[in-house]
Amino acid sequence: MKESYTKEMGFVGDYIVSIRKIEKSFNDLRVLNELSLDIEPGIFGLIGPNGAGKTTLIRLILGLIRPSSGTIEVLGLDIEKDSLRIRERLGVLHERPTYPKGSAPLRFLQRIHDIYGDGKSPDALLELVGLSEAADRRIGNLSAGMTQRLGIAQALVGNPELVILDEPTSNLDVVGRYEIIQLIMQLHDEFGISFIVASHVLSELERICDNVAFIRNGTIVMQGGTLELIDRFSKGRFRITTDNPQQLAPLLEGVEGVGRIRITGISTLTVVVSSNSLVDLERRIKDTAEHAGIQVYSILGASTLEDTYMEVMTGVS
Amino acid sequence: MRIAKFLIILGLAFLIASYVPAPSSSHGNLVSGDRYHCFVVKVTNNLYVDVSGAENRNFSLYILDYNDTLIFLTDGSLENTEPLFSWENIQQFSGVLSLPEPGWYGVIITSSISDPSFNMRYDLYLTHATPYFTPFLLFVLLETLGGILLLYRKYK
Amino acid sequence: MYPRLKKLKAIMELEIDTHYSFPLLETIVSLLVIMSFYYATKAGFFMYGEIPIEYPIPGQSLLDLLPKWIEMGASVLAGRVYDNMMVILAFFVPVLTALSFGRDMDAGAFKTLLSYPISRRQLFMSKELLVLATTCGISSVSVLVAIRTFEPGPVHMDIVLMGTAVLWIPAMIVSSITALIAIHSRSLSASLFGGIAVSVGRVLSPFLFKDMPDMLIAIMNPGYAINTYLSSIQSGEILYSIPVGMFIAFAIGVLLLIVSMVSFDRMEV
Repeated sequence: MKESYTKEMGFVGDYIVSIRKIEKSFNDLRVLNELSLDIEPGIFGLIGPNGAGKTTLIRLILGLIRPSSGTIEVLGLDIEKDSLRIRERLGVLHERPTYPKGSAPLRFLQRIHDIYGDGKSPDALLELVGLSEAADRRIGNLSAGMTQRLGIAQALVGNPELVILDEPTSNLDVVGRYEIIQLIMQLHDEFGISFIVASHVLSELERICDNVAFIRNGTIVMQGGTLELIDRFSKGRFRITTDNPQQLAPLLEGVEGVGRIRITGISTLTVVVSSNSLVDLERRIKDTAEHAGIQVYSILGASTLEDTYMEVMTGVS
Repeated sequence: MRIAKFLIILGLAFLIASYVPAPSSSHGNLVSGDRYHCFVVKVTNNLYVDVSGAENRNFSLYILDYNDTLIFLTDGSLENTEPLFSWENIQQFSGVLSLPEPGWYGVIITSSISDPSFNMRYDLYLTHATPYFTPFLLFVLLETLGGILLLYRKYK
Repeated sequence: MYPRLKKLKAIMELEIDTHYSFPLLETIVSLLVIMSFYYATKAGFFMYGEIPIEYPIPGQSLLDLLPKWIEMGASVLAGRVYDNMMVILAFFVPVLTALSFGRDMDAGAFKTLLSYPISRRQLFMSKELLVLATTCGISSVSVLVAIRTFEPGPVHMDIVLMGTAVLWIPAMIVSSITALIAIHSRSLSASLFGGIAVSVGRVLSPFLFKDMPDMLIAIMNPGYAINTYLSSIQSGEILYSIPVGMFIAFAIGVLLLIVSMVSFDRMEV
């Protein structure tokens, strides 16, 4: 363990969360399987398909459920012994949260403030998340985006060092998603708050996360810096946009320098190439397509987190 | 604001409570000519009494305080008592009686004809006069408090 | 200590905002106040006024009987009112407990609440306290006001204690069982119907099983046992079984409360 904790200085360690060989089963179903993970301060993305164990892991970190075996330390504190002290120092936005519908955002935040006993003023928080004008409206009447902002506000009440967000952009439209992502970045930059964001919307995570981990079937299959992983797994990978990927794919198998081919959409396929001369390769692909009467619109580097994720996950499967 | 609303609504509940009727009906009682019917009632304020004799028979109605009720029950007659109210040889009575203080009182009914073979049938209806003091006082206090709080919050 | 109380107050306020939103709390409280007075007025006149003393009654000294009757007046009144109020609470206690625990379980609100720095015991106690205060607390106060209205003399402590026990002990048992059902079933409807079934069964048991021993009646429905003693039979056996039965019921209530709290502590959210 590299982290340490002092009351005066707060968290001064390298890892905000350190998980060692965690196992969790519900009846006969094993959801987490000897999962180990170290999370550094910053914005961390926990990525995995539905049912991979993301929410279970968050519930374990919060002490809402107990592990079958293994240990978890959050901000240098053991979750079994210091659950209350941990929760004093972190904020959470759960997936599909429930707040008192008949209450108003300001009053609700005031109650949470009283529970923490200290922290950011509810008025300032509402201003921070852009809900000042809705301070006295009924929570039940807020839009999905506003409710999600309120969720972020309530997670920030206790001046947390760490905020855990479980699917923060689910049920939001494009603008709502953009606003939430901007808010997370702003909070990290202004207040130095660390975030753990569990999501399967990879385009958003790619924009904000310093580090990510891919989780599947209850184990971490890959972990590292976002850019580092993208660079590592998307090197030599290209996305071809064409009018007939189904027909083009078998044809490309015969092209020299083209490795694995994967159809990724109705007009796209991804190829892994081993050729040194990309210009030559591009010409060869276009020639092959043209010879078969297939239109190729573009050949671009496949270097997104989504590509990386697909590469890693399909490799694992 | 909620606490002010709470107090005001609670006050209204006490207002309703102060008017909850407490009727006691006793219909078709049969008293023979040589006997008395004595209803011992606990009265907190004033008492509403409604008695009517059946078949146009006359009766007498007496209201005794607790000590006189005990004397009446000991002696078996009204001779040594001083009824607070008395109506004799009447067919019907209905009215609110202003009693001097809360306590136990005797409501005595007897037939006007003192013949043992004569049975008289009557109906009785007793109820407390409303409003009751304590809940009404609570109503006034709670409404005042709620009103002040409401105004204070609005002013603030 | 003060910050803990402040936290408990904040949890209760949040609970009120969530489960007792306007005007639910106000309606329940008003209803209980009005019902207390309704039963107090009804019980008062029924006992003292409706049955006439026919005088003279041969061979019976009314003079001996009347003062005793009058002395018992407040107890009889209280017994009647508390018994009737317990029937009313037999509905309110399981419903409010089911709403408080079952609905949070159904809606997944516990994961939000327990992500704040709240201990599970604090949350459990604040929910239980709020249910009992809203039902038994309000009923106790309003019944006492009602008894004082109709019995302006000094209120005997035994009546106050008896009434409080009659209201609080069965409510504690029913509430704990309802909470237990909610914790284990994780369902609002199961806790609602389960709680009401237990509560109504408890009230009706002396009527359904006529041969039930006095002690068991005092455990199941102390209000009924006291009322039976005061208004009709007045046997020494019943008198003995009432405090013993109520003490056993209290012990069961405390045990159930501890079991529910431990279950809540171990519950996976």
